[in-house]
Amino acid sequence: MSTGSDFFSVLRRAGLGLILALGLAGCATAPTDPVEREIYEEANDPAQPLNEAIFEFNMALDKVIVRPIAKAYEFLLPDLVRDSVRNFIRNLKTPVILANDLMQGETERAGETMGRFLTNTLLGGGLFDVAGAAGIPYHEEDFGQTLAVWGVEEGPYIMLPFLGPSSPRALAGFIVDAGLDPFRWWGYHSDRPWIEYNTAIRAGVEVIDSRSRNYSQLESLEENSLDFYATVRSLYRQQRESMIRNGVDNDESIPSIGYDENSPAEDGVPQAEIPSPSALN
Amino acid sequence: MQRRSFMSVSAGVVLFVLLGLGLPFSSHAQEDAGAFIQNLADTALTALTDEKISNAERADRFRDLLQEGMDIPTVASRVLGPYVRRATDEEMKEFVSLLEENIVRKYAIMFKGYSGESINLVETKPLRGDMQQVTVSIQRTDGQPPVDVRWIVHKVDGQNKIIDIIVERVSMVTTQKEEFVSVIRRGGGKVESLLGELRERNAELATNVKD
Repeated sequence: MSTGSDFFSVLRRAGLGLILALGLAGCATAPTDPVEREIYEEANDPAQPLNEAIFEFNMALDKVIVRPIAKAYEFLLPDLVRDSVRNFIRNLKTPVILANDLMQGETERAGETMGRFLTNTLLGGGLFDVAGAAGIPYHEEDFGQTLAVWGVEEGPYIMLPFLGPSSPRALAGFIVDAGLDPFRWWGYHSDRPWIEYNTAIRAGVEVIDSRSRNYSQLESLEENSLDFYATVRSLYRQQRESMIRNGVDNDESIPSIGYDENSPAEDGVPQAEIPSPSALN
Repeated sequence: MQRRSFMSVSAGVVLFVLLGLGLPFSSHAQEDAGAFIQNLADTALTALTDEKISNAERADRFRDLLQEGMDIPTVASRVLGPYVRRATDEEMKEFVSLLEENIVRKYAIMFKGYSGESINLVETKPLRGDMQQVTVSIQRTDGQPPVDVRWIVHKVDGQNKIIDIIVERVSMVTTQKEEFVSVIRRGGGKVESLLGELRERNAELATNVKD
């Protein structure tokens, strides 16, 4: 009996110690200096050291595997073939995009998605973007964006191994989208390898295809940045925000980006602080 | 999917690099912000894309256009984020000139031999304060959909000056701010650490782009 309660008191003490240690670590990462604090909160990246390590890993993976394959892919295949690859993969995304269009109440865009699918499948065999040529451009939609439209907060920045920049909201969306994809379910019920592994094949091809279209831009971006990690984080968030708004130019975003807020005239004026959940910890 | 969105951002940024920083020659800035942007884009494309001029000449021309068309002091104070409150007058002064030099070194060379896309003015509309937003659409030659570029312009002593360039909803100031703030933060919160890195980078860029 006494050994039992000893055991529990040790456990309790250890647990308490752990909580204290974590608490201290948490305090240590959120700076008290007002300027540093503001920057820390603006970055909204509490796991930055871990995120940076994963970013390094992703970059190394890109350098050694993805980029060489993408270069070969671009070198070996004519533009027409690469475009067909992309069109084919995009066409298969239709169910997920359509579902998210509808969940966001975007009936017009849902109509475009449906129209594109029918046109490109029937007239383009899934390989040619006939609808795009006719003026109905492709658009992306995912459940992360749907959550945003429904008012779910983005949460802190996270860098995922292999997948790149993300957030809890985007990650949750990614998982839901995987479940929404009928071709994935078809794969589960097939023995034919091309169908069984279609999800992995599509994902791999898509990475290579998009990389082949962007490596020179990405290189100059990396060369020109003094802090590539921070640049990528900023670009990711701005791009996500734009996708959520479906590219609509939102006037509200102009003042909130901070125009004039840092102008010399207002130097030293403390900015209104809106407590964020992390600030309250 | 994450990766893709990132890729399309980077494509946008490069376009900004190619076209975003076209600035006006004329010292008589037009009253109308839209005409100002149209004029500067045309002028930059004429003055900077000539393959026959030397890189040094191209950089000089670009610098003239930049100083005339962009409100560099305002941009400089905004890209420092909250650290602007920590910068001394001395540091601020040096930062403005380092930033200008950095922009010239990074972007002037990209106009070399550039040709192609046409630029259409889409709309001009007033924003908060005296700011105007000029949206142009760049038609691309490679069959990709056109790219929207928004220029945020305000008046300095009655002249139009650019304070931000937004390509496909990606703001140059926001992106540059997060980069610079991160550099300073890594440097222990000292503005001098950014100045040091910029000095070094500008010197590197200068040696890389010699004729």
